[in-house]
Amino acid sequence: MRPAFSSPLSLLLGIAVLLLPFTVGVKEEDFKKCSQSSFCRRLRSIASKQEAAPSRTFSSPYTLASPQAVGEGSWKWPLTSSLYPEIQFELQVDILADGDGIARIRIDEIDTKTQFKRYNETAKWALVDPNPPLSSSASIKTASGKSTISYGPTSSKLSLEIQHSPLKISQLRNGKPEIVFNERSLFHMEHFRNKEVIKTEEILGDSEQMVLKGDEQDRSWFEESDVDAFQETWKRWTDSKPKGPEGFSLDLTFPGVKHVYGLPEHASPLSLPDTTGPNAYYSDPYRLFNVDIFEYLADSPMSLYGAIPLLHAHSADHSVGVLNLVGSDTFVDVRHDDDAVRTHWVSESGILDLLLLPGPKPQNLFEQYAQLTGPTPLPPQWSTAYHQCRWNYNDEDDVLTVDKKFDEHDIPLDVTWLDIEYAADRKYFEWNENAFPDPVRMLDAVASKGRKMVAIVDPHVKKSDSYRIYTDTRDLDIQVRKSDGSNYDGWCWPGSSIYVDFFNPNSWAWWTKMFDLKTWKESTNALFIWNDMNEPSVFDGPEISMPRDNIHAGGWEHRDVHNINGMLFHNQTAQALIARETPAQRPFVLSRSFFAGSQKFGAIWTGDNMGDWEHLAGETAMLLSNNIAGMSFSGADVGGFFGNPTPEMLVRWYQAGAFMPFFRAHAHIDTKRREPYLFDEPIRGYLRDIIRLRYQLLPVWYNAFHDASLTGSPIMRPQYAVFPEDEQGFAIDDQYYVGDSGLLFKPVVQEGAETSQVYFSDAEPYYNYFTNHLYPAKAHQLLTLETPLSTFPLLIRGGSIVPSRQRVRRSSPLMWQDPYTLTIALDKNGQATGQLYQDDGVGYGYINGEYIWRSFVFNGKTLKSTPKSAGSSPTEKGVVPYEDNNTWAQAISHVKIEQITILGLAKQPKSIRSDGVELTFEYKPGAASNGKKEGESSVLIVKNPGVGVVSDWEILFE
Amino acid sequence: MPRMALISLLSVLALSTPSIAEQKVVTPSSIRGLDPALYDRYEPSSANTFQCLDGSKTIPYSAINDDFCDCSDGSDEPGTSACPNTYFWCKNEGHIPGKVLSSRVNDGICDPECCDGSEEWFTGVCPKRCAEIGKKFREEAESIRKTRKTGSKIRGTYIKWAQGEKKRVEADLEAKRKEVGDKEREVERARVALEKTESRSKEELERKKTSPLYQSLLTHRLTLNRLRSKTHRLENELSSLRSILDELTKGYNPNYQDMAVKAAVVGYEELSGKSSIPGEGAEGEVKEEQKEEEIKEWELDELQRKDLEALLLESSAADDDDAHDEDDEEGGLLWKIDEYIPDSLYDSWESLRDLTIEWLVKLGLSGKKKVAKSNAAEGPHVAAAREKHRNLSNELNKLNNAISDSEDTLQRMNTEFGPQAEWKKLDGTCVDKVSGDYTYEICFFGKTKQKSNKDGSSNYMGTFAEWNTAATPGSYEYYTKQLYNNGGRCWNGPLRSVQVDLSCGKENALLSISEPEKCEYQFKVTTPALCWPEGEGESEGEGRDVKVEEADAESIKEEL
Repeated sequence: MRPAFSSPLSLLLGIAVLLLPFTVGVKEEDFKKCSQSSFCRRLRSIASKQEAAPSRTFSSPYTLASPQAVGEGSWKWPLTSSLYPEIQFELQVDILADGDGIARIRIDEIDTKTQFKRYNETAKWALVDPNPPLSSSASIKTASGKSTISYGPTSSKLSLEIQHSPLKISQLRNGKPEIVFNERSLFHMEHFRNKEVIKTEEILGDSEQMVLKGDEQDRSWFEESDVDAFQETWKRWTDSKPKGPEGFSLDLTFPGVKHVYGLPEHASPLSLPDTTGPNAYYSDPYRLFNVDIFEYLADSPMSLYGAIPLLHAHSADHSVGVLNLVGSDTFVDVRHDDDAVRTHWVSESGILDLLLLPGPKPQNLFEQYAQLTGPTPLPPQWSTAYHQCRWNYNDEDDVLTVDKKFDEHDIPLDVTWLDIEYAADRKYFEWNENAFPDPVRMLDAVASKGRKMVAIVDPHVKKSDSYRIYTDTRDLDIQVRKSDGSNYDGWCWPGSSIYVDFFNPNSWAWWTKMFDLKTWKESTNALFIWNDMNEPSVFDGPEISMPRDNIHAGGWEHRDVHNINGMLFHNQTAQALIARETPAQRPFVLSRSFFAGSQKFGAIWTGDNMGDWEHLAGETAMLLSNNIAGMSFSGADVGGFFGNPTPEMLVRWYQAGAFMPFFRAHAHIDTKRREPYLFDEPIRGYLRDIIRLRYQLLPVWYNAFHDASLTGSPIMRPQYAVFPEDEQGFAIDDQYYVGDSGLLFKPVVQEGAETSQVYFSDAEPYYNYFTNHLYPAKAHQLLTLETPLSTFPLLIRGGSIVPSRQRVRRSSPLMWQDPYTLTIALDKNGQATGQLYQDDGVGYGYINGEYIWRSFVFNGKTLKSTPKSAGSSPTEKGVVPYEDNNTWAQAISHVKIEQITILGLAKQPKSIRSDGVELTFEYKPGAASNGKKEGESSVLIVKNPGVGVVSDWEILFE
Repeated sequence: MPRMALISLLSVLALSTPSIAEQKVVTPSSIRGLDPALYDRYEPSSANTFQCLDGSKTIPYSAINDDFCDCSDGSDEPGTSACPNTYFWCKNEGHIPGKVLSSRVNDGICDPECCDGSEEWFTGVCPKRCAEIGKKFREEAESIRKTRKTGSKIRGTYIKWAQGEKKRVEADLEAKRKEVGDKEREVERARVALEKTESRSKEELERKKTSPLYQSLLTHRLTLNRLRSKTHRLENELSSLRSILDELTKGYNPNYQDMAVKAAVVGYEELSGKSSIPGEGAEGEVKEEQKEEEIKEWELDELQRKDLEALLLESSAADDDDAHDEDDEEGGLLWKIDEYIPDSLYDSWESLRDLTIEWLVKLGLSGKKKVAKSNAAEGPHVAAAREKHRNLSNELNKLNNAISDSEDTLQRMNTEFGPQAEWKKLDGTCVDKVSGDYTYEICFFGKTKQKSNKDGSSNYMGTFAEWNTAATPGSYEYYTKQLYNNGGRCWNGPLRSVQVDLSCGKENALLSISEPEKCEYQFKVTTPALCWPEGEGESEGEGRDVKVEEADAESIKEEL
């Protein structure tokens, strides 16, 4: 922990003593705890008052009147609170037409006498369709103070029970409640009010609170006088809060579950531990408020760079989810009780807009979430390969030397990155001419080997009249404003900077133009973009961000849109890259900040992590959490951003990184260089082998990305998602499966670890990827594997066919016509299945059916390759099936399968034939998939079977 | 990459040859990509088989280059990309043969090492460029040879110079060694004389020291000393804090987004009167203050330097002997200056003074050296004896120092200054280069620094520490790298250091500067001192390195 320096002098002495900053950590005091935030203090305390109140005395002051139909699948209820009977609220419930039955609950204040309006546009930015089509089959029955809506596919037996007084909404499946809204009566929406009114109330205050009039609620349960309600000062910043208090609180109870997941981004376990109650693991709630946090803690509910207000509740019996569409500062308390997991959400502003995802299994939740916010589109395939970054590669010579060194050591590389120092005075788009005299020459040299580059473009814009980006934003009047209406400037990398308001539609076409190759002449189509600092980060702002009373387009305050802000920037940059070429090519934009829906715009990474074992260990759970929340294309700085990892730790980082969807090494400017070729053997060899393994398995990764693009399935799949009925796996967050490939990976994250333990849920044999060692089928086993530095747990689940490309080139695009190898790991019945999706990797031809998608099935006697097609989930609607003779299929018609390896055959086949031709093969006896013997499995290698990846074929084993 | 053309070409190929690798192999020379040096190991066996070079397996001869990796060492696929970590050999007619890694075979990229395009035998995308590349290569090789030739001539002059220098130093050393004996005896005599004189005057002094006035003075002196040393300590602390803060202000890293640091910087600037725009007036003020301090300091020095014992003796000398000699007084002034000469300058001052006095004596303006009187730290006789002893001792020390310097130089001329001491000529030679906002300078075997082109401020980047310690001392490799280290500390970083990569060139020049890690610099320097004539222990490696670099530059140009 960094000591708190009380004066400049002690700071200096501190530095003198510490010398290097890498031993110090986050400055927690830079960020608010719940107790330091006026709305959170007020609203969170409702829960403690509820808990302290004598049983059954605490009830919700909110009451519904009778419903009115709004249209098909949509109803409204007038809603009032006995706290302020004169204030009108409204509940609207929608049932979505598509999918398995998603209910949407919205509450807003209506007919306010003030000029204010609650922010209601989160859905506009987060959802693919902010007003999705509604169900025509949902029906409502109202009787005895209760409205019941039946909906969803008939088989799902879903209903929504809406109790009018006090307000309570339960989602039931088969009559059993799975999500309950306001079970604890913590729902409260602070209505707009004038400051003067509050003052008189304060005067009345104490005496009034003592007396309960009739059935009127005790207002003090829900509202307490708060001197910060209309103006809040924290450290040296004052938030003017012109709208006064406008927060809301809600509780969601998940009966019958023991695990909740989600709410990224936090450096916490995947199965979220308690933040309140007797078993509290953290003392503060999970916070969702995007911040630029320096050297974040490896285990904490503090907010980080991204926020996805999505929660999954899971049991062996069922899975449900909630998406709380709110973009303002939000805190979430979690507590596990015997009968349920209870959550309490408090937000600073906005309407309540809650989507209930019915499940019933994790895979359904992934699809339902993708239906709402969109799946991860197929990225350029090269972006799934290896990225080499550093703050900074200093000049053209440096870049080309790194490029050359990778070749000299035969280590593949796809992307070289440029951090902020490429830009003259951090004026993004403008190259530092001393260091990069001819950027196009450099980009062309890099691109000549099929490689790409990424340069950083941040959302802050140097305030300089000689900087066209700045003058454009001034002329177009598209800057974020201060509360007094003047343009806001804050301090960031370039010094005094303005911030483009991407909520302003006028900024969009302009931003697109900035990336046009005719506008940005010093760029080429081999240059892609990195959007950092988009929380937004403001060095001299409150919580290293911008003041909450800043104003965005439409007059909305920054507090309303804070968590959405980074996503809009990410989106606009991605759109700009799509637009810069004809025909359009897939964009690649890495963002640090994200929100629900960001997956549509590119990758994210876990920010400024530290090069220590603790952070290495923590990354897996963080990334799994992102993956189940739709943000699959994510990774962590390999090696750790801060610090100088030991060679051992670096090898372990690379092993972990090679199994992250986004695989990029990055390092802080103060660290020693650590490009893989700089090390002596055996370290260099280990690093090379790991990176090459990533390239060999690129087909597996692309399959997983393809699945994600269709159904929103996570690329990194945690144990509970693959085996939703195995309770022993529900809390596991240190191992995972890569897509549906059957590859089970676990990073080694302990110094000096010679062994690692891996858990198998299912009764299938598993095979060590490197040694073919077979672990016979046995459910729920915890196995210990030897994992010296040269290796790590990577297993193939029996029943999987893993496609790979064993020939690794300098860069992944050069591998496009290289042959594939199929590794068939037999299940206990001697069978296996797999798939292979491939397209040109960069364009949008696939949308028109220019791709191949093969299904491989081995039934013990024959291995067949047949075409595969999309399923029936809402996001797969409109997927164009492919024709055998599409352009891409023709282009790769000569690409062959060079080897088929079958692991775990019980005995050697007599002959293997394809199309009547005898094939050459080798067989090495060993453990069989259906046996009980552990040891090296039998290995059958079919050499050059003479079949391609495009056509249908069949190979007979006799 | 002209993908569409490639695709159609490939489709044609794919149609005409279902398997891309079938070729009748009969003799080793017809094996694609095979290095002729290995032909004898690829002779087919009588059973028409081939044994993997590592002996791991025997395969049908037809499995060579069948685009499937049979051998664990990859030796069965010299001509395809099927096995990792092997090489494809290209004949490169019109140029020298080359080889590329198997991962480069048929990847669609024309590798400069295979100018005949043979490694892209399947994709067929590479034209034959050997005639052209070979010609350029030979031209470049010739130009490198010429550079080396010219350079080595210059180096010859360095060597010749060093030989002369070596002789001169050796001769000088011998002379000085002789002189030492005589000087040692003289010093000894002076010491004995001094001791005798001292014991005589000591008695008198002891008596006077008992006076209360003297005791009180001693106490004052002691207190003054303590005060001064305290002040001194505080000033040192202040100045190191200042310099830390200056470093912080100049070099603080806003990347840390640390508001505390920012506050410290702003606070310090306010305190020291420096606004963010450097105020000249403020600077001046600081200097003024320092001047005032210095005057006080000088006065204190004066007070402290007063030798109380000498004063006692002086007063007694005045009692004893009133006769003041005007000549003595004049010459005495020069002696008196001794008191104010800092120790570090004493030696040079001493010789100047002696010279002056010598001239004064010669011109009859001053009497013979009457050391004792004015240098009156003790009684005049004692002082004279002491002075004489000191002078002689100094001379002896100087002589010894000179000897050890010369010995050191000779020692360094054995390896440190190159196998033929050719680098000695460059000892202290400086080269510089403007790069970005800075001018970088390196003085061989001395210091390197970085000077801002904006405000002229400069950073010390290190002092010569060592040659390439990874190589054998005396080898060519050994002289291709120098390390300069222990430079000024970077804010939040290490001590600056410079790694110098040296190569043969016609002139001593600093070609480029890079900073791969914070404050760890890399210089590329050329020098004739590294132009070893061909065949003379000159590493083959060096020649090759140069070629490789040139070839790579070529390839980049080509690809553009």
